[in-house]
Amino acid sequence: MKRLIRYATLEVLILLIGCTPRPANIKDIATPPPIYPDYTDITIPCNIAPLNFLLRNEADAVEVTAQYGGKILKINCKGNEVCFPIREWKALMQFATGKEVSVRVIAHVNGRWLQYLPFRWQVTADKIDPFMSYRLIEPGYEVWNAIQLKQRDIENFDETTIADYHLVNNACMNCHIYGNQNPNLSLFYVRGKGGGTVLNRNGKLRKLELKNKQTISTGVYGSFHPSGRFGVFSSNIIIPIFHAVDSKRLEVYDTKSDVFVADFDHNRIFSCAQLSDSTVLETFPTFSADGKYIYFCSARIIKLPEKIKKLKYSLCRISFNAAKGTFGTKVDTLVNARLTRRSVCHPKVSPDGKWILYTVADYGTFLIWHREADLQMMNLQTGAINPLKIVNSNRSDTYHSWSSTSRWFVFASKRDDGVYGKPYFCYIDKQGNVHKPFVLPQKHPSFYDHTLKSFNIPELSTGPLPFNAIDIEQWMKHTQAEKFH
Amino acid sequence: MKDRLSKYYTYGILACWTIACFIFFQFFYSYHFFFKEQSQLFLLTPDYINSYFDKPAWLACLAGDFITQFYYYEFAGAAILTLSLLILGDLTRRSFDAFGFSKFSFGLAIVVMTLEAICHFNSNFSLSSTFALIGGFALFLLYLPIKRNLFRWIAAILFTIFGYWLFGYGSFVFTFLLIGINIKRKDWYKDSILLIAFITPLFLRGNYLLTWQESLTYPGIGSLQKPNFVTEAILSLDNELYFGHPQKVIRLARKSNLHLPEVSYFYNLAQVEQGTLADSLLTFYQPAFLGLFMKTGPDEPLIDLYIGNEIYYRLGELTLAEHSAILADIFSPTHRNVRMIKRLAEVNLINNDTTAAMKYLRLLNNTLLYRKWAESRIPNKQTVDIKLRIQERRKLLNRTDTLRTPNDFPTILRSLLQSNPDNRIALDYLLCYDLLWKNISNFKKDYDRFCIQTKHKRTNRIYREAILIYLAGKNASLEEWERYTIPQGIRKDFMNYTEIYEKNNGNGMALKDRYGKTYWFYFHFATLKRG
Repeated sequence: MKRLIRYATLEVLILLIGCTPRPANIKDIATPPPIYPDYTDITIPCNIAPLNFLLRNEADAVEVTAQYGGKILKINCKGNEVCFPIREWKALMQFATGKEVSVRVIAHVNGRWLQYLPFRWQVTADKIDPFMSYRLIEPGYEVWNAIQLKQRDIENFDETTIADYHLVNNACMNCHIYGNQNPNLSLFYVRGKGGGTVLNRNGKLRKLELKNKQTISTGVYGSFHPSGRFGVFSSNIIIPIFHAVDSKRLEVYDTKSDVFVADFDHNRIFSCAQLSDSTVLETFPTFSADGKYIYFCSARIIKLPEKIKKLKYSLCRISFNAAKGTFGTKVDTLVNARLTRRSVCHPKVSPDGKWILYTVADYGTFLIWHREADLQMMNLQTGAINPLKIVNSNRSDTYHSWSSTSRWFVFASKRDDGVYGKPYFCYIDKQGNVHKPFVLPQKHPSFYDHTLKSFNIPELSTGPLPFNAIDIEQWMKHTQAEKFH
Repeated sequence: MKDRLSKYYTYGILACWTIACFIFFQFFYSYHFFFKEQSQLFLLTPDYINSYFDKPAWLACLAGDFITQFYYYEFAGAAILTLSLLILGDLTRRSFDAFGFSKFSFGLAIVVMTLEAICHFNSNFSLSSTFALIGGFALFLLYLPIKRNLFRWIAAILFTIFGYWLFGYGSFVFTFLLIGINIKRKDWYKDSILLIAFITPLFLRGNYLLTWQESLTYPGIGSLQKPNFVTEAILSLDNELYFGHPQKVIRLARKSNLHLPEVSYFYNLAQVEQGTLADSLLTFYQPAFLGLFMKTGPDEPLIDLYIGNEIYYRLGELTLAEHSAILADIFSPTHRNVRMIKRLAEVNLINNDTTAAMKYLRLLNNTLLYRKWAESRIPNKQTVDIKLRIQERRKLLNRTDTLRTPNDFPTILRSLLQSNPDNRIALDYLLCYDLLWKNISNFKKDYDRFCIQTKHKRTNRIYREAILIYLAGKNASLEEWERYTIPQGIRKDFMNYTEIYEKNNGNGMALKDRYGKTYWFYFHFATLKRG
């Protein structure tokens, strides 16, 4: 029996050693390693989860050395996937904060050990907000099944469900948004019978019927006032339609859209002529960081869908007085679509009020299938526009949101496969320089290869939400929606 | 001697049951197995295997889904199901033997096996559910030999909790058998286990994100229902077309005698693949355009979503083929459908969207049975034959962009023909669409535009019959008559038809025998229902 145990132990040891082959007779090659996701030469926050990756080649063993000064994190893996132990990773990040980590990859490919050109990770002390919410949805978009709103801890791989379609009578859910990146100020909309807008304010949940006789629909795109008392929303009549050629697939346009403000303290909805002009489509409203302006996009109504390629939205703003609940009389145009000949969508002002980030495309309002959809950033003090060349790709880059520090933003990009959106993080340093973005790391680096869901509207927050999917199930079932007038 | 005889009877009944089960599922219900196999995407990757822990019954589901893959092979579905049911029956018999019901245990086992077999008539009922039951019985048989009271207590609690984790609702089988045996042993206080059995799912449902009903029945308790031979017939047509047997599709469609849009849809697809749609259109039941296209949308039946992409793919209308395949994938029971993933890979390869195609090919590369298929399609590794097939399909693609709703079929077809007048399938579908809607004016316009102007002349009798209706209705000039070069025989028939029609005051009975398969008869007597 003892002998048997000894043999078994030996077998296990041999197997274990077999799992971690070591490089020998290494050949240097002058190409960067073919890693996925692309984590080469990027700037990362010191609180990010391990950047696990895989090699897109025939590698059957990999050795990775991540090093700053005397601190070395070396791992050997069988197969082509590299997963860093989280504790050692955290230690390296802590040690290398504000410094540059050099990463060397040696892979066993077709019987030979190859050493690729090293790459670097600039570890910045500017932390990213540690939580992010998003909607997971199949890229059909006008239909749904198995939709979930999720919350991910960016510092590790923990993911929780904040709403599940199964638990809310298979109803579709709009994306979850935060106010001031605050986990105690957020909302999302559950469609269908018994649905409504779920408002989470100071940890208390409310179900709201965010429309009245004047609004053309319930709130679709929205944003919070910094005070948390108001929300600004668009109400839209949305039409989906299909392209004949492959690249754009689905187009969605509005036949009508207006902007309104909702007062959550007094259950009141109000607007003004400039935000609800029947000859103009107004949409994508958002408050400025100080709450004194509402930024929105606007386009003249034209014959649709025939003239869809002429549907171009300008970036505008109107002043807002929160104390009186009134609007200004003058609309400023910040980006004029007539001059730029491009359409502006999804403006979002940075929390420090310095920048406004938005998406531009050749035309239209629904840009997830527009390959030319790119992010742009305007300095609100100087009006200078940064085309964010280092950030954008040849696929759709859109649906962005800011970190509370204004040093980071996250956006959804289809750059990998053109079909499934993934959250990418981008760093802006003190000088306003933007750095190469990188995708949200996953525990299994092949996760993105195997998922059939898109990450929709990723939004950053400073902490975890005070509710979960079961709370929402109970809340939707047992609560009547509060009416607005 | 009596015992021996009874044994022979037992084996005899079991053998008959086994043969009957196998024959039924193999020869009368086998296409359901292909559907079940295609309605999942089992990946041999750690993260996918890991995903089974997100729900209860992970062992039953993992084993069930893994084995369901092998339904891919002919005869495997019926063999696997029969074997699984026999194992279930054997465990049932052994469990009831423990109660001292030896006389009835065999009969009870047959009843359980039969009821479970009936549940498998439902196309959404999975093998995992049967494995969940097997797990429940197996736990009970593992529990039985435990002798010491303390160990029995511990085992009862652990098996109840872990049983739910491993086998979902199957753990209730263990619980009920345990209660039964405790009643027999007069060990009443162990029946408190029932409380644990019901609390466990309800306690864990927040983690598993299940409603309380789902938490008590996961992975699916099944229901007793009649075999659905209509669905089987549709699945047979769908799969035979998928396997590349259009002749068999035509034969099966005719044999089925079913007046359903889905059956006509496959009949027409098989005919158009062989270039015989126009000649055979009126020899089969035609529910207007519903026999040419399946409506696409979230409210349509799953089976229609599932089959809807086939025509778009053949037409070269890849935006809608992709849309339809994504819908079918989304609404499949596990929200993953290997056949739709194959279709999405094909669509993107034809569209020359390599990165999107690679997404799907990588998924298929991680399956056991579709790896080869995927490998042979990876760009730079494609065989000459596959390259040629892709190039052929590319010729059919739209060249100009238009916007349309998914069910605007004439616009879709005209747009394809405008891009490629050689698109034979699109041309026949457009002309037949016009004819089935009795829209002679559109037919004439489309015929002129896509047949005469582009010199893709169609001489099929049905088209000529339709043109005669137009020419006669418009009192066309001699020049116009000559333009369409309609043979004398058809003209004569038309005059004869008109004469009989007028003589009998529009009574169709007088025309049916001789002219029942002509377009003139369809035009006069077929009724169109919108919807």
